[in-house]
Amino acid sequence: MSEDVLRIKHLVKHYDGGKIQALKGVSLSIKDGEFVSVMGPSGSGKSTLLHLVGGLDIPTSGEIHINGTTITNNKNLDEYRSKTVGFIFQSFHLINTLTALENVQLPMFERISDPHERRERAEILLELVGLEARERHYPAHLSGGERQRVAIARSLANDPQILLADEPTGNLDSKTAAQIINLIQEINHKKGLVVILVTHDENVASHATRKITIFDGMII
Amino acid sequence: MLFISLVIKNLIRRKMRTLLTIAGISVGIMAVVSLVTISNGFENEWIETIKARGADAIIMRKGTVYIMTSSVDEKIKQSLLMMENIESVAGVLVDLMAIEDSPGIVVYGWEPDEFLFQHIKIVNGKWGNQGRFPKDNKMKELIIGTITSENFKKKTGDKINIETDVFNVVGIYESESIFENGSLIMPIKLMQELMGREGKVTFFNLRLKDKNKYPEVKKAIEGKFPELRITASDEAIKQHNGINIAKGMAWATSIIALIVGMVGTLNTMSMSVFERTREFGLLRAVGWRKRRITRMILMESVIMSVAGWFIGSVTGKILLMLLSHYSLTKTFVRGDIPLYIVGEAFVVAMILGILGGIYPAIRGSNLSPMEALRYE
Repeated sequence: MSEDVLRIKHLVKHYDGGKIQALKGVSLSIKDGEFVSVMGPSGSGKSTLLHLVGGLDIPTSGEIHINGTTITNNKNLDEYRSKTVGFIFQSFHLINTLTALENVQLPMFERISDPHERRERAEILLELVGLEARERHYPAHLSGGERQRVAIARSLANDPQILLADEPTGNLDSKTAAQIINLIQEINHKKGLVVILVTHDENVASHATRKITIFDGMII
Repeated sequence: MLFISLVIKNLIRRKMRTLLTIAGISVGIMAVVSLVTISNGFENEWIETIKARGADAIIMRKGTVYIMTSSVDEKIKQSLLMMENIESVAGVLVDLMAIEDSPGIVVYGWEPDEFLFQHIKIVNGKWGNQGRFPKDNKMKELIIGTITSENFKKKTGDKINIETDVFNVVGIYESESIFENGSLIMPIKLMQELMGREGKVTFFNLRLKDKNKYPEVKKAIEGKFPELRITASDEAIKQHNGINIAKGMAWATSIIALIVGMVGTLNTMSMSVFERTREFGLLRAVGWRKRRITRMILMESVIMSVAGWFIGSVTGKILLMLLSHYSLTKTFVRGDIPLYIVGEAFVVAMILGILGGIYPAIRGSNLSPMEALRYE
């Protein structure tokens, strides 16, 4: 049986000095290669969980272990974000003045010093998401689905172990959404990386190997 | 993609704003380059003038703030010549006078036969040490510098109006000092009469037999004539109030222009950081360290400054070239910018870029990735 990649213990997150309790003690273990969907209504804390796992925010209490080492008291989360996790967002967050190829290269600045290597790697990743013909296009000239593909390629830039997707199909029509979710599934299979996908779409969640539901800051 | 390409793309995306900021910096740098060149040129011209005259020291009235206002009794010359170690003494009368339509140019009254004439060359006509010296004031003869000749279109044989009188141009001279080239010289007696300052000189130029004896000579003169002050040529340069004021004004004006340039950069970079909040959130989310964001913003700001430095230096050079041909300014402006001033301006531009970029850079890099991503 494969090892736990991610182990979360009693994770609590408060905002506004305790007025808002976004997470009220979540514990969870995820094994290598798992595709986990996190469902729940708006404000249930599912995005907060994703942000804490992604090192974008620091929990009020509790622990997050990645490959046995804790990240919760790690003050320098930059390296963790750059090496271990990849993010996909609902609104893509591409930089409009950069081409698809350039957007994919952004995370690589911290890891790869050779510009040719960055470029080659970005080309391979764009090919992986089926956008080799769109390398030089700017986000404004790409469809929603294509933009999300660029974002997926970018999330894989530094070969992460965990892919975190925050409502990745929220801005897409159902047909495109299905294509994107198939792509994420394919990457999960091919690369064997952990996928944690936050959604409130039942169809999207059904692609996952494991479903978690969060309600009012707790896993139910 | 190179990191620098990313930085440049960031600047190009707001072309107009970047260009206007660069224009603001250019004006500041142009002010530094041209004003400092002019004021330093002023100083250099004064040094050249004193050196060219071959004087070791200057004697003027004690307590004189500005050299032109000094007044010394001409008779002192005889006593000075009797003193030890003094080789020669040349009295000079200086004033600004209205010539033709011009509000004022420098006019010198020199003693005929004195050593001052050794450093000027008569390029046209016959006067000075190469010819006869008009000792008769009734002739109303004078010589004009090459720049004066050009500015007022006067040649040997022409008449020239000074104040309310008419004088005869009997020669054109050239000096190593462009100050002197932009002035005119008449016999000191004639000038004293014209100004109603008979028996007075503005200052004496002194030549010593042995330069190393200057301290003794100074002591002796100031002991004998408590109302006089003697200043060695190199000290005189430093103490020249006009030059110090010109230098001070040049820097003060430049600093104001630079502050305007810096505030412009600060404003541009702050706005740019503010607009890109979400982008910085994204970059932090994909693992960029704070340091890289700081570096990116600072590089944007410094690149604008360096562009401003380049444009400002080129336009400053063009401005000086124009001024060196313009009649009112060509007596003290040479067209070249010394390299060290261009170098100083580069350092100033770098400092300006860093100062203008540092606050936005710190702000941009300290954004919390979470909040920045949510920012609308």
